[in-house]
Amino acid sequence: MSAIVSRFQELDVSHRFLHVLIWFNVLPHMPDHPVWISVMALLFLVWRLLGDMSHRPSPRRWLTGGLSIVCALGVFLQYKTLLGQEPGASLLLLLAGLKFLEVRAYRDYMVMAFLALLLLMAKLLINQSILLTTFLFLDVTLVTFYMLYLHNPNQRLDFGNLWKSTLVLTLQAVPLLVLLFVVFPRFSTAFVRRQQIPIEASSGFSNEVNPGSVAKLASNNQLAFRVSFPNQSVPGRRDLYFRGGVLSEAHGLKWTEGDPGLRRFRGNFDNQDSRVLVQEVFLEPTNQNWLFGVDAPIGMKLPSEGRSVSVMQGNSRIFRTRFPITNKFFYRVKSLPTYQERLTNWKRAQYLDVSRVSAPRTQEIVDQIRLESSSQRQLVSKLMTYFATEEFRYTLSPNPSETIDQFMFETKTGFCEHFAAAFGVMLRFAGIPARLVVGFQGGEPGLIQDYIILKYSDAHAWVEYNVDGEWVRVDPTIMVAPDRIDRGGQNFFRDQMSLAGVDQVEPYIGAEWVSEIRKWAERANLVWDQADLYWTQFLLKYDFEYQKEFLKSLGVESGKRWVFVLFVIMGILALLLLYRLLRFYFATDIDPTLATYHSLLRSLSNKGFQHEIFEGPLQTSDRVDTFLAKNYSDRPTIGDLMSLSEKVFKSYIDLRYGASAGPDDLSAFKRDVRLLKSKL
Amino acid sequence: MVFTKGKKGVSGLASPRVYIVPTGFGFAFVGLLTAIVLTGATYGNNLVFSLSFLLMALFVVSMIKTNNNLKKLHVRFLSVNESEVGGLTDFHFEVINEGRFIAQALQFRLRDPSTTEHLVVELKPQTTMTFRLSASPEKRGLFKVPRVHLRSVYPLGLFRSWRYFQSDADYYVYPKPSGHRPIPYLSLSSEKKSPLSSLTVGGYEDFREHRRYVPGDPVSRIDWNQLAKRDQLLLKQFEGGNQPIINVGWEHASDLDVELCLSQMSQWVMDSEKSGLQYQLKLPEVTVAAARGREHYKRCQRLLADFKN
Repeated sequence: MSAIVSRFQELDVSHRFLHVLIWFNVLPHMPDHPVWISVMALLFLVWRLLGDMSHRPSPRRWLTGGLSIVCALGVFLQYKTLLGQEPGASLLLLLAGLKFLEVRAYRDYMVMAFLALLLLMAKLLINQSILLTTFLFLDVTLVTFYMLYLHNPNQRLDFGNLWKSTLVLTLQAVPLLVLLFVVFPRFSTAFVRRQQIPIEASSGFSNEVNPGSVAKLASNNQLAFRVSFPNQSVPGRRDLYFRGGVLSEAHGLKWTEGDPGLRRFRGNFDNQDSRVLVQEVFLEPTNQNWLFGVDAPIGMKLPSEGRSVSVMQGNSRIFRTRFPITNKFFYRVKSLPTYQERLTNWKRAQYLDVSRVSAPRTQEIVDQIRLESSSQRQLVSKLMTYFATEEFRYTLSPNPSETIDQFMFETKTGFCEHFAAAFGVMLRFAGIPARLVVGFQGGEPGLIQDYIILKYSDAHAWVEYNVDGEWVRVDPTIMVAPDRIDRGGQNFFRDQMSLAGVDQVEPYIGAEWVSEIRKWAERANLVWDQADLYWTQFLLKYDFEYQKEFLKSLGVESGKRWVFVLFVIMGILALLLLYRLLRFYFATDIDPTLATYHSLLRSLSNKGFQHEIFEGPLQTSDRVDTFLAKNYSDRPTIGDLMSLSEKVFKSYIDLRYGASAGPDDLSAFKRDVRLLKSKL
Repeated sequence: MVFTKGKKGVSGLASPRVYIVPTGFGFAFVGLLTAIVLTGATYGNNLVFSLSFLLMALFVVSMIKTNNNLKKLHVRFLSVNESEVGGLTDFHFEVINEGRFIAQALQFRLRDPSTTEHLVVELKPQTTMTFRLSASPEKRGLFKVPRVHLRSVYPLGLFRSWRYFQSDADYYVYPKPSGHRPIPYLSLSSEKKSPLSSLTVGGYEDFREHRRYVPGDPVSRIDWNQLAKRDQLLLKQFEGGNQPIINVGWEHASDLDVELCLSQMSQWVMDSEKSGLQYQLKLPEVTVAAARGREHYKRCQRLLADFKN
C-alpha cells in the first residue's frame, strides 16, 4: 500500500491533482449506473493510474476513439436511446474516463476540469440532499483549485498559498451566487422530459397486492416521504391514512388494480372548504408515479405551472405523475375527510364482483353473520369483530397461505394485506361494495413535530366500503394489532423484531448505557432529518411563484414583466458584448494602403488578371499595363486608363515603401483606386 | 471589454488601459454555463441552478481578478544594449506593483513576435523587479523602444488581459558588420614600421594604466604585484608612442552599395575597437576624430546606423 502511495507521490504534480479531481468526481457516480458502466469507467481510471505510475505513454488516439464509439454503442444498447438523463449521465461518465486516458497538453487538462463540472451536474440531478449540496461546494472549490494550479507558473508548489487563493476566489463568488439565486428567473424550458427508464425495480407499490407484497415493503426502513401541514396541526395518528392506490379486482388474497381510468388532472386547487386539509409532501425518488395524500385527496398542485411534469387523476381519487419520479419531488395535496360517491349499477356490480374468488368456508361464515345483523353498518362491525374474537396473529413473516379459506381457518397469521384482502372479500360476500386501498399509515413525527416522516415500514393496506353513497374507510388490522395503528409501523416492527430475537443488539451488561446512546443516536438522526427536510423544502419550493412572492416581500415589484425586462436587458448587454468581441477577434490590423491595394488586385482578378503571389508592385504594374493594353485596346480612353493605372501603382509604392506620406496621399490613392476600379 | 480609464501612475504619465477578453476556454465555460442553466430549467432543479450560479459568480470574479492583476502595474524603460542587425538588442525594463495585492503570472513581451518573453511568477505589492527582453533587429537605423506587451490569464485561464507600455526612448540598430576589405590606416609621419607589425607589437611599449582583468586577457600581462597589494587581478596596459591610427573612411568602400559600404565600415569599427588602436570615422558629412573606448565606439556605430543617403 505504502509503495503505491509513494509511487503516486512520484507523479507529476499536475497529474496527481488531476487524479484527485477525477476520482473525486467519478466515485460518487458509481451506484447510479448499470454495473458494467460503473466498472468500465473505473477501469479507465485505473488504467490511467497504472500507466502514470509506470510512466507509460497514454494510449493512442485511435484506441480511445474506438473505445468511445464502443461505449456509446453500449450505452445505446442499454437504454435504447442516448438522450435523457440516465443515458446522458452514463455516456458522460464513460467519455470522461476515456478523455482522462488521453490527457496530454494544457488543453486536455482544462477539458478535464469542465468534464468534472458536468459530472457534478449529472450527480446533482439525481440527488439534492444537504450532503450533495456540501459536495457541490467542495467540488467546485476543488475545480477552482485545480484551474488555479494550472495557471500558476510557480515551479515550487506553495500548497498553502494556492489554497488561500482558491478560498478567497470561491468566497468572493458567494455573494454573487446568493444574489443570482434570489433574482435569477426560474424559467422552465419548453423541452419535454423524456420518459425515464428506472435503473432497477424500485421498492414501491405496484398495481397489484399479493400476499406478502406489502410485508416485503414494510421490512424496508428507507424514507418514503415527509409531510407537513402548513395550516393545521398534525392530525392524530389514527387519521393518518395516506392513500396511494385503489385495487378493485378481487382474486382472493390477491387484488389487482383494474383500470384506474387515468386522465390529466385539471382540477381547481383553490377549494375554500374549511374541512380541507392541506399537506405539503416531499417525496423521495421512487422510480414510480404514485402520489400520496391523506384520505381522501381531492386535488394536487405541483410547484411550477407549465412544468413538464403533469399530474394524472384516476377514477377513485388517486393521483399519479405522468413519468416516474426519479428526483426528490415536492407537491401540495388537499384532502377532504369524507368521500361521497353514488355508485351506478355498473360500478356497484364491479365492486361486488367475487367471480374470481373461491372461498366457500368464508362465505358460509359471512352468510351466518349476515343473518344475525339488521343493518349494513352493523354487519360491517360484526364482521370486524370476527377478527378480534378469532385467534389471528399479525406478523411480518406470516405462515404462507394461498387462499382466503386457508388464511381464515388454517394459518390465521398474516400481515395487513392478508387482513385487508380477506375483509374486502368478506364485505363483497355480504353484498357491500368494497375495495382495497394501499398506501401508508401513521409515520413518525419529526424533531419539531410539525411534520411527519414516513418510511416504507409504514406501508399499509386497508379497505373501503360504500354505504349510502359514501365511501367509508375500515381497517381490519386494528382489530388484530391495534399497536400497529397506535404506535406506528416503525416502532411496531422494531418491537416485534426484538421480541422475536431478530434484533440482537442489546448486550447483557450496560444495557441502560446502550439504550441511552441509542436514544441520542435517534435524536441526532431526527436533527439531521429536520435539517435535510428544511433544505429540501427550500430547494424544491423555490420556484418561479415562490420567487415572485419572495421578491414582493422584499419590496421588488414583481409580475411576469420583470422577468421579461431582466431578460431583455441581459440580452442587449450580451449582444453588445458579442458585437465588441467579434469586432475584436475579427479585426485585422491591416494597413489601409494595403487593404486598398488588395481590393484593386481583387477587382483586377475578376477581370481576368492573375496576380502572382511572389511579384512585387513594380512587376505587377508592368504586367497590368500589358494586360490593359491587350484587353482594353478598343477603348478610346485607353491612354488615360493606362496612365491612371501607372499613377495608382506609383503612389502605392510611395505610400507603402516611400520615405514619408501624409493622410492626404492616402485619400488621393484611395480615390484613384476607386476611379480605376470603376473604369475596368 | 473592460476599460480602466487612464490614471496618473508613478511616472506621472497616464496609465495605459487594461484590455480584457475571454479566452477560448472562457467561451467554452460560457457554453458550459448555458448548458447547466438549461438543464436546471428543464428539470426544475434548484441545485443545478445553484451550480450554474456559482460558476457564473466565479466567472465574474475571475474576470475582475484578471483585470485587477494588471491594473496597478507600471512598466518603465531603463536602458538598452544596442546591437547590430541580426544581433540581439537587450532592453531593460522595470515593473512596479503600485497596488495592494500580489500580481501573479505576468508575461512580458515586446510587440515583435521574434522576441524573447519574460515571465514574472509573482510581484509583491510596492515592489519592483527588473527584467530584460531581447529582440533581433532586422533593419539598421534609429527606432523607438518597442512597446512592452504585458499579459496574463491569471487566475483561472478564462480571461486574457493585457496592456501596452510605450516608452519615449530611442535606440539604434547598427549596420550588420560584414566585408573582408583590409583595415585602412591613416598615413602618419611615423612610417618606420609596417602597419602590420605595429598592429601586433603595438601597445606594449610604455605603461599607461591598470585595468581590471577580464577572462581572456593574456595572463602574461597580469600585474602580480598588484594582486598581493590589492587582492585584485589587474592588467598592465601599455601605450606605444607611435601607434598607427585607423581611418574608417567612407572613401575606402564607397564603390560598394550604400548598405554594404556601411556594413564594411561597421566591421572596421568593430575590429579597430578590438585591436585597441585609435580610429577615426569619416562619413561624407561628418568626421569623428580618432579615439577609442566604449563611448567612441558607440558614437561611430550610431552614426553609421543613422546614416541617411
